[in-house]
Amino acid sequence: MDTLTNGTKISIQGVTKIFSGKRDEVIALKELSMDVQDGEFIVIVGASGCGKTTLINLVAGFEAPTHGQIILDGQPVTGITPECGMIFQQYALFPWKTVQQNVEFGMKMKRMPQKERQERAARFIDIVGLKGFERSYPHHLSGGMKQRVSIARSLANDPKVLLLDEPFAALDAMTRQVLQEQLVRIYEKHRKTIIFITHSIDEALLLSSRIVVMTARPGRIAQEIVNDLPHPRNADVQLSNRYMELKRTIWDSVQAEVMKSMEVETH
Amino acid sequence: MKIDSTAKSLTISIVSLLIFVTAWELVCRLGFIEPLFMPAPSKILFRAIKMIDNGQLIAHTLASTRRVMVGFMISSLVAIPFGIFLGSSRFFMAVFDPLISLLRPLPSMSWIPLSLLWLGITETQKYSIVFMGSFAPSLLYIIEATKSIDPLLIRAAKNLGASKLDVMREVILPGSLPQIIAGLKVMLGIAWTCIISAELVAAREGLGFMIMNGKEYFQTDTVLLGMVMISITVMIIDVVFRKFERRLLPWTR
Amino acid sequence: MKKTGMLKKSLTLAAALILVFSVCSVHADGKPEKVTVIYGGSSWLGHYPAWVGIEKGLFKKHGLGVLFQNFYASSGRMGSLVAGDLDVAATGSISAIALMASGSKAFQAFGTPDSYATVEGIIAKENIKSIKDLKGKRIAAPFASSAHVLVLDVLEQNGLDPEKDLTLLNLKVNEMPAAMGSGEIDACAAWTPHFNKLLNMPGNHLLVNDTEFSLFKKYKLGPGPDLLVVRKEFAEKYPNTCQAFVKGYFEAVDMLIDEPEECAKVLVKLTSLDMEDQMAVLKDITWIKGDEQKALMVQPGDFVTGMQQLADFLVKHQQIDEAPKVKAWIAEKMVP
Repeated sequence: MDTLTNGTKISIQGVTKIFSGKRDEVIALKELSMDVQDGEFIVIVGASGCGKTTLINLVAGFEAPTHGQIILDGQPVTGITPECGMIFQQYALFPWKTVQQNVEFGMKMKRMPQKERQERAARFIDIVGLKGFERSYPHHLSGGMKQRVSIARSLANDPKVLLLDEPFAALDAMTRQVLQEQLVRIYEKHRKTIIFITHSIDEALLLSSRIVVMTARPGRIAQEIVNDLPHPRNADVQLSNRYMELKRTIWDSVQAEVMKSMEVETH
Repeated sequence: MKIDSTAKSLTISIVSLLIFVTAWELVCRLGFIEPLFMPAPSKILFRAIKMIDNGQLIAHTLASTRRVMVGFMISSLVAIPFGIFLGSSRFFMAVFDPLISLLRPLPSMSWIPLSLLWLGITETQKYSIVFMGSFAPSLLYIIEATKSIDPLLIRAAKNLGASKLDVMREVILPGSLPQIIAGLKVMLGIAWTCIISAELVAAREGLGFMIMNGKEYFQTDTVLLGMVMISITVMIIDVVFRKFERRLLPWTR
Repeated sequence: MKKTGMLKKSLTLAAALILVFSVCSVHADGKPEKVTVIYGGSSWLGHYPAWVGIEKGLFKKHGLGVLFQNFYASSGRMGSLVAGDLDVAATGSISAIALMASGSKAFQAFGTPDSYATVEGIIAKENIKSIKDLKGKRIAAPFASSAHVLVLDVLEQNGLDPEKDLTLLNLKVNEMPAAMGSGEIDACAAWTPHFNKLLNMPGNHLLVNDTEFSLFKKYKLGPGPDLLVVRKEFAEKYPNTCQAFVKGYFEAVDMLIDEPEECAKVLVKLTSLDMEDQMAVLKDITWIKGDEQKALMVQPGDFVTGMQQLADFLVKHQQIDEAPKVKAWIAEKMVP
């Protein structure tokens, strides 16, 4: 296994997040603590509404925790930081920029010289397999291609941590599989620290080095499972016994949470 | 197929225009309407030929067009950055909101006495009327346009390291540009109403002056010719604007 | 035979005379067909007789109620007249000629109440000593007005081209004092009371008044004499009403001549001037009595000839396309 840890990258310490509406408050996360080691590929699985998106938004600095704190490389996260590159389910590409310009965006913000950022962008466009589409505008691309542009845009910006919020949920099954394998290969090659959110157990098993199962309302960690499936991984890994075993364990845990959350809703 | 259908609708438009003009001409020729109240199209045409011949028509049209364009450009150049700034800052929006609310309902004509005192009988005074008439509504259009931006894009830009200024320049401006341009097109029409009212006072050229002077001399054909010229000029500017728009918004093609 | 013939003749004559007299008396004492007349006016001195007639009950004496409708500009007033909203009005003759030129036959002229050549003119900064000095300067005049015509005329007399040699601006008379004060314009053409106000401003002086107008030199006709007009349909339908109006109107003119102070007392309500200024304005006006009207309007019709000249002048200066035959618009029956 290659998940050797070079120290703690992200430390989530007793984080509580409360959203106050007009009439009531929702406790999205309650006293959640978790450490992410450098080079880990964490996949957070949970039923919808369990606060996993809230958690990743806190790490990215889009929102501030009500209590507790998040430490990135020894420094508390106080605002939006380009150190945590976010990939959204809705791609969030700039429609008025070409593929090339989208991928260059982060580097342009860093005031990187034009020539350097053009070359670097070209390299990452190539890595995600979009060579030849540099001059296309996003609305000419398919969903899968858009998400690859988004991944290239994040990678080109060289963040310390990659955050992915259900990035493949809107894609069809075949495209999803291609992208999953592509992401695994990128991870195997670049060893970025990754936090990935999904509600698909298969996706979690295929991608992760560690799986975190979250409970619903208030969001807490129900279970952590180290995914020891061997690398390099591809779709074939789904046929192994170890895969089935892990899947069952996670499913039991997730199912219990889903049942609980349904009970809450029927109250 | 597509060319066919556009050619077809163009034909229909031309035919309907011809029928309308012919009916108008007939009604006038048969004496149903006194020429003082509505001159025949042919009379307007003769007036046009006469005024093209002595150079007045072109001079009036160019004078008004120049005034509209200068006033409108200055207004847009100020309103676009300011509107984007206000659209992305709750604090400054709150600061300027009362002032904008006070300015907005003022018709451009109400600025004529003050502008004459401040700027005198100058071209700048004419530009200022167009500016005052179009600035506040343009600003509101632009602020509204900035609200149409997907907040996710702003979030993504910040996540990629964009500063507040970067967000305005790289995200809010291009993102709201289609709506801004649509708004400015409407504003251009309003700018024309401003210049016509500005030219009613202390002017010696321009389509507004031409209409006013025609009215003073009961030359209804001159009045109508002035109105037709405004329509034609706005139509031409609209076509130019559309070309410009396509260049400015390549991603919408 | 001869005698009886004579008798018969004289009888017939007598009968005819009686008939004529009775017709005349019916005409003279004939009740107005319509007892209200809507008059279009403004605070301009040309409307003083109508105002005095109303305030002093001179129209009432003839069984008429006259309603005074205010219109700032002659063109708007004339437009309303031909549209049927007014029955009678007084107007600047430029507007009337322009309306004649447009081909509208819906109105007719029947008199001219006043002459005011010394309270209209061009006022300039002191450094402008003559018309020739206007070269390269900015001059304002209300376009399509008598003052505008005066400017065009005196410029022509001095060989200046209003398009090339100077800047001629369209400005309302009430905006001129401010524009002169701020130095926006170097000269302006205006009429009373703004004319007097401009003259009293330090640094201004009178360059020319209407007596310098080319037609005034020949015909004693100013650039925009006031004209009484009636809606043609109204005149044809209600001749008695019109006669009554004319009588009351020229009685008011007489009163303005004979008792200016009495008239000034009611006129201040129209003009918002104080008594002193009002009396000063009245002094500058020459009123034209009812019995002088025939000579001016019909025979020999000097005024009409002058108007015709004015129309030709407007054509020459490209203000109207074609000069109308002014005589065709005179309501001879209504001229007292």
